[in-house]
Amino acid sequence: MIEFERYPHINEILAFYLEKSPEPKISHLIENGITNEEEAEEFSKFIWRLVDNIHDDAESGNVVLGRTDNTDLLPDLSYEITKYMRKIGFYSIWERVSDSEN
Amino acid sequence: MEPLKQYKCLTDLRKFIETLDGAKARPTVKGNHPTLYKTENNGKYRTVMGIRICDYQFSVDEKWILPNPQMGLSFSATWENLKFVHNMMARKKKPVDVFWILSEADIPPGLKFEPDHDNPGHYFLTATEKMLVEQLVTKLTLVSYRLTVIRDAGKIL
Repeated sequence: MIEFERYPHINEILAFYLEKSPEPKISHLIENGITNEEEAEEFSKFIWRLVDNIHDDAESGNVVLGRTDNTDLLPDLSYEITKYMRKIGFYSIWERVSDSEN
Repeated sequence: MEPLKQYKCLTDLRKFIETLDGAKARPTVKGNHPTLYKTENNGKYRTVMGIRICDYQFSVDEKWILPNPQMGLSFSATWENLKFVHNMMARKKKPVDVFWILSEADIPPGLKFEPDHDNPGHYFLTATEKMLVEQLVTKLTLVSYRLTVIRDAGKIL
């Protein structure tokens, strides 16, 4: 199971957006962990969709987890995902997807 | 080197950060304070006097900060580390300010940069001694005065 401990609110952010817009494959990865390159790529792309959603909700003033702007939590998200991807050996995939997104 | 006040593209920023060997940088959404947070009363990121409880180790009564070499404000020492957080914050052309500090000598006593054991290129601005929360607020405010800012011109270009 993917669970972030340093910044535990990142677990809540992921859960909120997956409840709002269900993505069964991503929920499965969070439940079971990432085991191959394909899953790592899929999860990395999801993270950038999540970043877009956080920005969109902040722009629209939508309340998410009691706040109208969660963009100040993005450094925590970046930290946890980068650390996790490095730990499981798929940092290069995370980096490649991130570079292609920007 | 001529200090960079604004960067016109990510390549400018990357070159600048890579040139500053030993510098520690920290991006914020434009308008936010570089070292203190807005009041947040709920959640795992709630604040005590502008300090997030997830960033420093608080005493049970939340009056004291306890030393912990792996807890503190986040800073990046490499472009490789900075680019992820910067790109996330700058998504959708949101203006981002990058604050940086060159020398450890500019850090008040009681604070120290410690490398993150789990994340290469990432540093924590840690407390090295027990101090009142008010004292940490004062020290972090002093740090903010000593940070240099690179402002993103991305949104107006």
